Amino acid sequence: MGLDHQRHALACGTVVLARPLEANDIVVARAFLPMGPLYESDDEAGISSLLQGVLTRGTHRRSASEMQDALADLGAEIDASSGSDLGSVSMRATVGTWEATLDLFLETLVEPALDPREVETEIEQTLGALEAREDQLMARATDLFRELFYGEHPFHKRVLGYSHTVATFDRDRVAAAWRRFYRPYPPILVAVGRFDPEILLERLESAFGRTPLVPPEPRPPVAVPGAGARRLELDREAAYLIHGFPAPSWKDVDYPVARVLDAILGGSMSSRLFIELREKRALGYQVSSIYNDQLEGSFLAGYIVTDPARADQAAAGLAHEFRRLVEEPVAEEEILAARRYLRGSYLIGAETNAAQAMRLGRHEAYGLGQDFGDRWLAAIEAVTPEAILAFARRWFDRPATAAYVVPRGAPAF
Amino acid sequence: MSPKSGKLEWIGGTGEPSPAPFARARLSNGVRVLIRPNAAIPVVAVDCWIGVGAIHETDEHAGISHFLEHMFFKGTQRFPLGSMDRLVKEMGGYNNAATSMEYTHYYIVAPAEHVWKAADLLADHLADPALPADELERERVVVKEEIRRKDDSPHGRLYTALAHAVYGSSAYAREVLGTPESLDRIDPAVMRDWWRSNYTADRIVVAIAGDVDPEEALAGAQSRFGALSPGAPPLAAPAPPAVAPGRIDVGMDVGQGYLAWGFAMPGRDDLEAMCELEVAATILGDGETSRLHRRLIDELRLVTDVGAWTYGLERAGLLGVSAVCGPDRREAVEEEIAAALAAAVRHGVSPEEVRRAQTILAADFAYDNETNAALTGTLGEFETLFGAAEVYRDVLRGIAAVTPARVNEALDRWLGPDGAVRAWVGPNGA
Repeated sequence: MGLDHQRHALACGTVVLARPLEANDIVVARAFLPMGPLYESDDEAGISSLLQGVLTRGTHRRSASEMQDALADLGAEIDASSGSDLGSVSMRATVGTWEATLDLFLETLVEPALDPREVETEIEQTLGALEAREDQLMARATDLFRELFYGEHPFHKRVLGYSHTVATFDRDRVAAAWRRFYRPYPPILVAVGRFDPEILLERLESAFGRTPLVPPEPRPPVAVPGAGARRLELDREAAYLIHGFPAPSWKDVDYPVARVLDAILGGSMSSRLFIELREKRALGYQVSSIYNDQLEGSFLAGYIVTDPARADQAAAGLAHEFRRLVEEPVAEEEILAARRYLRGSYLIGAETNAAQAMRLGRHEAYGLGQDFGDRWLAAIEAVTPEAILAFARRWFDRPATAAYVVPRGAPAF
Repeated sequence: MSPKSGKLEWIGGTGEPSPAPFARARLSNGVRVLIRPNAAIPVVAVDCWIGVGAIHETDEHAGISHFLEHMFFKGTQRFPLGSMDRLVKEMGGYNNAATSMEYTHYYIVAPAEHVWKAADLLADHLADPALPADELERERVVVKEEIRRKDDSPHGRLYTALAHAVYGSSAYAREVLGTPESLDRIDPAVMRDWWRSNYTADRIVVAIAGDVDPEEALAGAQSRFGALSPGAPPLAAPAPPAVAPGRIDVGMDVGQGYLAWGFAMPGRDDLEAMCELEVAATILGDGETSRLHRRLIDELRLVTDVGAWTYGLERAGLLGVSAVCGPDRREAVEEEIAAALAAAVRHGVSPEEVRRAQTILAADFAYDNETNAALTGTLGEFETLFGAAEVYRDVLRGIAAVTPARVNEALDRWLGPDGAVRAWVGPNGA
């Protein structure tokens, strides 16, 4: 079930999922490995992200600029990044250049230089990006929300880290992080597009060799969500409000109900938040929900960007929409529309080769099974108004977590 | 019975880069239809383009094209308020819209079985929007929130400042969102008039990509879009103002400095110059191998971000450079950018650089045309702006044919020593 693919295990243990396709000329490969804030202590916040930035800056065989030149001459790309508990390294090429790009991709994975000068450049870049992030108010509100919601749990940290942590990093710290997370190669690799799987496997076997990968470290314990409200004042124009609650994670039996509820609350322009707060009351232009669904520690929140003079109404409006779910059942028609919406979006969400590689890799990395999507899509058929009401009472009938970024001197609410 | 539509004209072979092969037909009323079959997954995009945007407006009613885009979703006689969003959600699809200086477009992406329901919705909203007065009042507030949100973003403020620095108070500097004052002057009669005079068949392009049969798609388009009223041909853009070097500084509550420079260059009416300058901008500032990235980030670590780009309207364009840096580094960054540009003008670019830029641009075009929405986006935009979707091939060929000598001549001509118009957004009082 799920997306058709071939599954292979390399001699070293890396699992390879290959999905050859003729739909277009694009070839995407993506390697996955556990890393990110979940595995970082507070004083190493941002090390995973920094390591990923340095990884693509040169190998033992070629400098950063030689690598960049080689990729540009192929019209290909190699990127690396980290999320909050999973990192990835990806390549994108076309049918005529994928083999040459694959060689550069494997060279990046097998023998990254982690050159001290490139580490310094990447630190400077990250410090600048952190400062620029301070100027983005929705990002500020999200950071504030996460700090409050996750409290002491490692998920409270930003993926990029903080200037006071990133400034202390050096080549040794980056090399230690590489040894710790790569062990020494990613445990999962996915390829999608117009390529020959035999060539892919041959190159991978020869690059990764036969020495077994070191097993990953255990996942740290599950987060205990925090509640309350926090407010930050800045000399800016609009108010940014987020209001949310803990929510089911992927393996939770309540997960399919949460998907339906999220689609009713914030999915699309006919969602409750959009209709009630924007269409009926014109409280803001940007209004929706965020379902941060993960393996554990998930949350579901509503957000709005609003006029500070009416921020009290907007905050009350967000709270009211969650309260309504606790107090009265949703209509059958809303559930019906939500089901169709979820099925369609799941199909549309796999339109690109990159999106398919991401889906295959995440299902594998989190141990969800490739039929994960099919299973929860089947389960939403059985979701009823009563189930949603019981769900809302279980999850939302408690103090909310709220983050507000507002103009200086905005009235209290 | 609606009159018969024209025949499908096929453009491009299967060996050619996407969006080819695609087909075009003109409906009896003048609406142009573009069809790009794509059976990769059972999804379809229907995208309606209207050749009207901010540049065609008056200052008095600035922002009306974008305001109409918001009002488009407020129902019709057949589909009352709220039905568009609800029906699209029930299809399992999504809908959205965008307005620019020169066009407005509306699209729905949905599972392929719903293609005609999607087309019905779009066609009926183009032909018979209700534009109710009470909704107009509410939506005015929402658009003002959109302006507030844009003014909170340093990049939003930067590009507003650059447009004013380059184009003064002409139509070319007009805000797509309008201003709170111009929005207040738009009443239901003005709105209806703007719709009636602009949403006419000759200005409308319908692009369909996805799992459809081309002949069926044409018949389906004829029965839905073939009844739209014919009207005046596409609008002409006003003459661009003369551009003089100048600078605008804006202070706001930010920690970083945001810089943008613009050099006036020709618009789409000079395709050759556009291709030459596209290659020049790629060499100067597209990606990690570009000159500005190598110098300002890799060597000097002066900026967090730097890039060069082109922006082309019909009769005027810009070659721009933008950067983000610590505010205390502004002077050094400006000197370095000026030096890099001066060196490019004085010593020219190398054949290797041109070749690489051509490779990057060709690959980016392939990557950017993967989804159905991207395919209708490319076809619809080219058909609307150039009057022929296949012009994208001329642009690709034009870029591939550029020589170092031509890039050097273009740099020499358009990047004069004091020609840059400069905008800056930095911390208050800095």
